[in-house]
Amino acid sequence: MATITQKSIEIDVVVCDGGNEFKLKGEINEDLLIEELIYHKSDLIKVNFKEVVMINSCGVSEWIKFVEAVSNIGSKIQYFNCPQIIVQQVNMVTGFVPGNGSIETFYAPYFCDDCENEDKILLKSSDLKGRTAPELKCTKCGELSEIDAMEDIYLNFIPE
Amino acid sequence: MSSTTEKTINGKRFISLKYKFLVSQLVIFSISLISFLYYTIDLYLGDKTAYIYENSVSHIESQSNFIEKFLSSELNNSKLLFNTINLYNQKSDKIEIVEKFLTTNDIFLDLVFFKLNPETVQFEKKFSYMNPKILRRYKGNRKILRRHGLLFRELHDYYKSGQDIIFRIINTDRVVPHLYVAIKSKKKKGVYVFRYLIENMASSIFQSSSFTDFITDRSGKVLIHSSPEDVNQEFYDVYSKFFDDIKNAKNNSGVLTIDKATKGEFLVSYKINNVFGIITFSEISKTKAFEFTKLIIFKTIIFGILIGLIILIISLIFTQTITNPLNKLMRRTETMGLGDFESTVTVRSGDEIQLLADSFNFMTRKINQILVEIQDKGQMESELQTAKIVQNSLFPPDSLERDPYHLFGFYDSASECGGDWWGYKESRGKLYLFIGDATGHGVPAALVTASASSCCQTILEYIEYFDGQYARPSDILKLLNSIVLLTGGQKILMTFFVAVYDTETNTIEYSNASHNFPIIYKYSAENPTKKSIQALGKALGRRLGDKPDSEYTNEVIEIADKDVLLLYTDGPVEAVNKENIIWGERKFNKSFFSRAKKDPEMIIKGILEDGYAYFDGVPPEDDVILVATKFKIDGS
Ligand SMILES: [Zn+2]
Repeated sequence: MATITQKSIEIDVVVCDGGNEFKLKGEINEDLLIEELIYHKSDLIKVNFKEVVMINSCGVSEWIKFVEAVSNIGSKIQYFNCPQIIVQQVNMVTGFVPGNGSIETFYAPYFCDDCENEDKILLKSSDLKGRTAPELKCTKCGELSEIDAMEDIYLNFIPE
Repeated sequence: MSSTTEKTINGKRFISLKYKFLVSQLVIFSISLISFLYYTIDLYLGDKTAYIYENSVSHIESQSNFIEKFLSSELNNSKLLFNTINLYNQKSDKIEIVEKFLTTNDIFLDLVFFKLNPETVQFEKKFSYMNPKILRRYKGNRKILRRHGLLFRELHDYYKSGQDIIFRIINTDRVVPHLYVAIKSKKKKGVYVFRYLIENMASSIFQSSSFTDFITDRSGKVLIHSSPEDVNQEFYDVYSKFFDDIKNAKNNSGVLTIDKATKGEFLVSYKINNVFGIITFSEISKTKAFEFTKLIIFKTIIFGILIGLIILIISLIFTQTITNPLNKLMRRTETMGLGDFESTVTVRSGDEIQLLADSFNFMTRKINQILVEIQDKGQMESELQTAKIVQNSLFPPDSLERDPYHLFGFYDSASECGGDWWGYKESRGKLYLFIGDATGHGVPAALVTASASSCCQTILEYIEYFDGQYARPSDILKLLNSIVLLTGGQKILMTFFVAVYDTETNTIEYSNASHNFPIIYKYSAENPTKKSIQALGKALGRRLGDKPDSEYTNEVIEIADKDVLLLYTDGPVEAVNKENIIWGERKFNKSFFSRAKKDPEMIIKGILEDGYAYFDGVPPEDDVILVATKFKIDGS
């Protein structure tokens, strides 16, 4: 267990089943120093994005360098709790998820047209059937709530 | 012209600190010297006066005491001798007694008995004895042999008077100085006269070098004195008033000042002895007494001038240590005035002036630094301005109206120099649309963007020039990738999207290098909903400049009449309001599709309106590009 404290981000590295889990907290930007992350590599790297609040284009570049470096030496990478901003990068930017990487869990925005309630629902990739978001009930009014994004685009990372 | 050579400062005379300091030193010194002299000499003079006064009083005291003792002793001797000799009648007895007396008294001169002859009423010498030792010593001296000639008449008067003893100091030209004692003998009807030599007495008592001593009778006639040359007519002229004064004086002793016109003032102390009828007095020249004091004053002044000179030299050296560094500093300020901000001034005086010089150097260093910074900043700003002008030239006109399509674009840079770019090009019935976003901001990002945009331009010009084939979006991206890789050095990447609209086939072929997905509104007569829009989310490849071997693919979509393609950068979508909540995809999409039936300019302006209303004064952190293209297809 170690804590990497950098200018814009704090990363807790904890030992998990099969490797290390990186718990990210803060912003992924040009201040990210990937050398410290690479130092804590393991056979399986679980990345928990739950508390990432911002990612910019420079941060994307640095992140890609990191995942490429560790996957090139054989580390398997799994993403957990990806918030919407991470899912957008995953969909848009080739290389954000390396070839042997996968997105295990992610948040999907849900919007209820009846009460205008916004929900962030944690979904498990393995539960989905194709690029179709499950229909859920609004946590506020119980009416039907739909995914608040272009479904096929948002779930672009799910194999067809 | 330096101010050191000028004699005035702003019309006032220039006086160096050096001279100011010197003058102040000298003034202080002179004041102290003068007050020292004034007070000490005053004190000294007072003290000296008192000293001389006391000294002369005590001198005359001791002189007169000595004389009185001497005289009393000889008087008593005479009485004793008289009493003894008066008892005998035999001459031999008398001689024996006198000779015995001589063994204890060596100044005894002679003894004479004068008997009064009642018939002649004359004194006749009946017995006399002269000290043989003295006789031998004064052999041949007529003065010693002279007897009492002048005093016979006096002797008569005395004999007739009731007085038993008369006592005189005799000092005339005719006789040796002596003490004359006459004692009346009623038994033998005559007078014994005893004489004692007093020459030696005078020399033994008048030994002082500073005082001139005198013994006079009551009338002022000088009997004995220590300095015979002083007793002349002038002496008597000068002293006549003195004798008048002391005759009337109540006290038997005192001190008076007399003025000898030619010799100055004299201090005279005196004592009157009524028993012996003499006045003893001493005089001392005041001028002489204070001569030493004058010498002291003179020497003090000489010494003072000497010290003054030393002070002058020391102050000169000392003030140099102040004025030299100050002059150095002054010269430095002058060179600074002429624009030299780099030289330093070295002062090693180890005092406040050194501190001043050090802080002066610090100040010039700072000023120099600031000047350099200002220069650099100015240069940088002008460079940025230039870059911005260059960059703005890369953007196409924001509006394009053609029969088959109608396009409107908007660009707003968040910084001086943005990294976003959009453009279009019409060529051989095709409309090429580009949008890209470089990582980071500022000049480096702008440069990469500029090369990417000129690359797009070049590709299309090249095709035009060679009457060439259609440039597929994936080929364009591949070329752009190598350009961005070259200029960005893998440090600056670019997301990029290329779409080509073919007016003949009414299709759009696109390729995407990780740019945020453009959206397309598919026209239907009904009111637009979120279902009316789609994202162009396929044909995805790596960002430009990331890898040399990045591959790009193409995707084709059909276009129908009144469809609207919206290219944008994520700037507006990611921008936040005052609560730090992003505008978001849903609101952005809604803002778009809700007015998708309007013309492109209205669509863009509407989206901006919605966006800025949401941001509520918070400026977007990222560049904003919105490009809407509406297609018009005849016959459909
Ligand atoms: Zn609801």
